[in-house]
Amino acid sequence: MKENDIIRILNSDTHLNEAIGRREQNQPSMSADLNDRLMQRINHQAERPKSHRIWLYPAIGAVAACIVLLLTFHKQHTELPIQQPRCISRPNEMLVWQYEEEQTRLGAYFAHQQEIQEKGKRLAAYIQQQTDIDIENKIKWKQKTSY
Amino acid sequence: MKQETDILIEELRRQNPAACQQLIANYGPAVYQMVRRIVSVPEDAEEIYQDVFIKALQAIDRFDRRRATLGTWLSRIAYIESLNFMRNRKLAIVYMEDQDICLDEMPDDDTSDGQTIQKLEQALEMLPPNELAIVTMFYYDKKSLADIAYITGSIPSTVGSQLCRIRQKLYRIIKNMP
Repeated sequence: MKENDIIRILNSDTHLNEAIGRREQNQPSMSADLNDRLMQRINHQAERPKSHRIWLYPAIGAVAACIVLLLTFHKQHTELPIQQPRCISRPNEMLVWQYEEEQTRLGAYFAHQQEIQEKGKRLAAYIQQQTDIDIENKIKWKQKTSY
Repeated sequence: MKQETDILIEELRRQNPAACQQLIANYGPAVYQMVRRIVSVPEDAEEIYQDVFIKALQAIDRFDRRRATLGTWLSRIAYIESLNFMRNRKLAIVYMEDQDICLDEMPDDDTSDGQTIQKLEQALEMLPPNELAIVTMFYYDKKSLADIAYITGSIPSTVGSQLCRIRQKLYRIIKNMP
């Protein structure tokens, strides 16, 4: 059915037209002082400083960075204590043992450090992802209801 | 008139208080009517009415007169704000499906015209607020389908179908009335 036909059919309904007209005329009118209150509110809004929302996103970023730094330093300070090498009578054996021990300890240390960094990165990425989703949802809603 | 509106918009963009007053004086009653159709509690309607103008003044730079007139744009803000209020209050709003159905004939009742109109008035009270707003915009405000579509964020053909379905629904309601 074409638009014009729909309009013709709808317009031919005088009963509905009359009923809606009556209903609208029975609606109470707005308060006499409503516009004065509105003007007061507009003037009050104009005096108020601008919104602080511009600080929101940098603040989220700063919080995320702080969490990453805290996690990294906290883990570094809770590292396993360095073990003292055992004394062995034969100097050559001791040197080899010390070297191997050092390598093992360093390997474990770096692996641990890497693990912490990975965790930190994952957390930062998660926070960023959540922030992005939040921002995206806000943008979508704004686009949907933009004037 | 067109030139007057252009001047008014320019002054509103310059945040001229006299222009704000003129905007409210010119478009206030229509905006209030729109809000009251959707929000029945007068105190809430007054709050939303104020929000509509505050938001309109904040968004006046984005107003594009090629898309709609200033009045239609304000009606759109009023419609969206009122429906958002209803949603936030968790009040049920039932949306209709877009189907191309239109009743061509009047109900085959033997009731008089006066009775039918009276029953229709009662049936209108049973409609969800968004449907009541659409049907009133068409019959009372005499808005075009394109303008209603702009206000409701729809397309004219969908609005046409919606109007037909609302009308059909109203006659179904009055048929079941004692």
